[in-house]
Amino acid sequence: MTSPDQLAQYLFSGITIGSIYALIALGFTIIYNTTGIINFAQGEFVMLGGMCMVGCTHILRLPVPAGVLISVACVVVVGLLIERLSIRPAHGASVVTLIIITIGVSITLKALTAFITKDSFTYPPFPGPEHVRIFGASMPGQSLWIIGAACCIMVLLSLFFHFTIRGKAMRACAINREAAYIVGIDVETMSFLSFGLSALIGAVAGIMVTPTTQMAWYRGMDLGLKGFCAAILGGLGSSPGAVAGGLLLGLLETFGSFFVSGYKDAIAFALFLLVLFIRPRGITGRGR
Amino acid sequence: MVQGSPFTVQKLFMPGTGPRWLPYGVLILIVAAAPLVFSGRMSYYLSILSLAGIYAVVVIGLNMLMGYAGQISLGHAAFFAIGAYTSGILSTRYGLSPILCALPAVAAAGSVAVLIGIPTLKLKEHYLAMATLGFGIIMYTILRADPGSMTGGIQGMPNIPPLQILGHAADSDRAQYTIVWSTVILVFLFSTNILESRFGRALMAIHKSEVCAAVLGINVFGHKLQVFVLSALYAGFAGFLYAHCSPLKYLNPDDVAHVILSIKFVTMVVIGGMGNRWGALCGAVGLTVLPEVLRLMSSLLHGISSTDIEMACYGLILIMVMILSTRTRKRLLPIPAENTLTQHPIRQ
Amino acid sequence: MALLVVSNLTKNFDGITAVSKVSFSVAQSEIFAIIGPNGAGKTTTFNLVSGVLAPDCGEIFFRGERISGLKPHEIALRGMVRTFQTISLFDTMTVLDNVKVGCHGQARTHIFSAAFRTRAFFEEEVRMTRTALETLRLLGLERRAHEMVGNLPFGQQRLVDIARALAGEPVLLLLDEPAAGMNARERSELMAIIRTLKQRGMTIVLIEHDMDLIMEIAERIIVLDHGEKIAEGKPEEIQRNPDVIAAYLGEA
Repeated sequence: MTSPDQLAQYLFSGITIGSIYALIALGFTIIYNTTGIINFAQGEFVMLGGMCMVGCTHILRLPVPAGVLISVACVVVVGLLIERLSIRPAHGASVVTLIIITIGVSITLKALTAFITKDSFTYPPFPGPEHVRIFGASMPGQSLWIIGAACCIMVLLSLFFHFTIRGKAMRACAINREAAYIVGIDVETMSFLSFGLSALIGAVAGIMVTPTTQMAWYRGMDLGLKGFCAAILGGLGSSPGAVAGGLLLGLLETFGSFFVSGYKDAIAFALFLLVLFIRPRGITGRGR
Repeated sequence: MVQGSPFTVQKLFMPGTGPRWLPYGVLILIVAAAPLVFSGRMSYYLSILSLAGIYAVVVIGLNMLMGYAGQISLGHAAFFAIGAYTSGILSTRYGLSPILCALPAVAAAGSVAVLIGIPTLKLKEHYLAMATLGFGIIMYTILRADPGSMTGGIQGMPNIPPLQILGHAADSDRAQYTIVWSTVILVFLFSTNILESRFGRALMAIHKSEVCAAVLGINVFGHKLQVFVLSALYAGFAGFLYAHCSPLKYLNPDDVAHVILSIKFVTMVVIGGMGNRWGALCGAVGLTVLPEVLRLMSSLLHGISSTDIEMACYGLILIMVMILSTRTRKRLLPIPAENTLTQHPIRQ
Repeated sequence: MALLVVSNLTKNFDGITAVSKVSFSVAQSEIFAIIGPNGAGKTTTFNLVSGVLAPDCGEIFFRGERISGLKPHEIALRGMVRTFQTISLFDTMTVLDNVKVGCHGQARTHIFSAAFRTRAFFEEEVRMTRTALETLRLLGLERRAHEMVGNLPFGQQRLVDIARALAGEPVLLLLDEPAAGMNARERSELMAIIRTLKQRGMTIVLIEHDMDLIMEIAERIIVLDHGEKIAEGKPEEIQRNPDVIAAYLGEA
């Protein structure tokens, strides 16, 4: 980290990967707030999003916009099916039971993807400039797509939560599920909806991140865990916290890998454990 | 487990039941009969049963933690790996006799469990699950990164010496099977004794309600830590057995420290019915044999690897067993066991 | 010297004061009742005294020792055991085992004597069983000792809950609405039990909505309303206290 250029380089790559973590963390937050469940399969939504897009570009040879739409739709359907087939039947189960169920969902999705293919894939970045120079740092064009998509999602989500009746109902569930039920909010539909919405966000994250890296059947777990770390960092249950936590985690990881490269993942999780032990309500103190 | 004790004593604290040695007798018979069935060319199956026994040791411990105390751990493969690698490093790099490695292997797993358990067990439910999962991943990353060229990184650690007993190397399938399963039976008896005591009752009390257990004078955190460390000791010991008593005698982070292995252990506990000791034993054997069955059937499944089917099976088992157990519990207890509204008198 | 002294006890939840500057003291072998309308802070007071919640302010002394700030199990081991408003029995265990959990604090043998089934382990297990069976006999439940606790009728489950607390041989027993959900016969049995315990020298503090029961057995009563103590005295004094009547009927 000798020159300011390099510093800027690290900063922007940190923000790029941080935006992805923020999106995954938002997915965790939405389901957790509405249903009280930590969805261990959140990372699989990301993986499925990337893999569906791979299918659309490599096999169906669809143009990017159509591919994105179809991939997102597929993953949303998967998310809704998961809620119907595995979460709804276990209504009223203990938290530990629900954790085990979502782990089951996670490895089932992983295995089903591995049935189809066990290779790693990528596809070309979305249309735009190949490289952009900002403050002396050279950024791949896809970074702009990632950051842009993350911003769009955040704006749309906050509009949804504040200006639509469904969004407000979901916020009511987040504040007090029992009270929401008593005043007539259909908590079951909200749970269904939250899985769809989380799947959508996860899919977007997966579609956006794949060109900068590789996507394969096993990638869901570590992406999901990083997203969860971000959610904890920001305070579980807080949406602004999830975004802040994601960006922070991305930056820490990028700068951390500068010092010790082989232990990149270990750093992220050590940090995560540290936060969990010292400040379980997250850095913003807004978690619960 | 209470043979030899005066009948009156036994009657007094286990009334209504006779001596319960019958299942143990059957277990010992089955264990003793297996080498007779799988002899000669079939002795390959004995090595699979040895592996099942090694996993059973982990699962017996994990069942105490999950089934009895109700605490989830998604990182038990890490303790298994600590035991295996400690023993492997000491015996290959420092030439320590394998049987002497058991103590350091178990001690290493236990002391890491104390260090991890003290902060982790203050957490609840999904936090605990994620923290143990994170710990498991840290362990896996460290083993792969090969610090100080000790673990062999992703190449793994080959040529681990077999156990030496009375000057004989126990490297035949049958010898390994005998060692593993005699320790499994001992470990099983041990944990039965531990669970059928005030310690086991305290764990079940904590599972049901921590607050309730605490106001009755049970040190909740102390008991959680004890059972966590105990289960890690079991896993560490199993790791030691894996290093010296499995057919490969080869350690690799993917085989002993991967998250999937942790989930496999959880699945074994879950399929046996959490809190059921015999179930845990059967779960361990069943799920270790499963890949072999799948491998035999792989000719029917063109192009799909049996390990993927195995993974899908774990996933589906976890989902279905949990849903079924929730539904049957609901049917048995039509009245909600805990009324959440009255549990928070604060919000009245 | 009073057995339990509570002074200036205060607890807030998110800006709402649940208990405000409550002080009272309980003498040895007294039957002491805390009453008040719903949401008056009775259960919160119990939670604070038993260590389930930490007070924001105020102190609690038990047998001359400051116990505020101690963990619930540490308080239990000093001789104060409580029951809960909602019964939480350990439904995977028999009645006897439930009560034996209550003996946990008296036991001294550790996990290794259990693993190796030493003589000390057997002796202690027998001792615990004896204590548990005696407690069950006191409550008239010894015939059901080996049944699963979930099979008992509701009123008897409440008694098992009390038996479990008694098995810890407490000096002071805190009962949170012990008569809730009991029928008339069970209720009179409960009163007889409470009187027997008092004769044996035990001190009992109870929260109860059943005014007939309170007025019949309590020796001293405090009344809470909106987290504050509004009255203290003998049952007949409380019955005549205009503040109490206003609190129960609701201010105009």
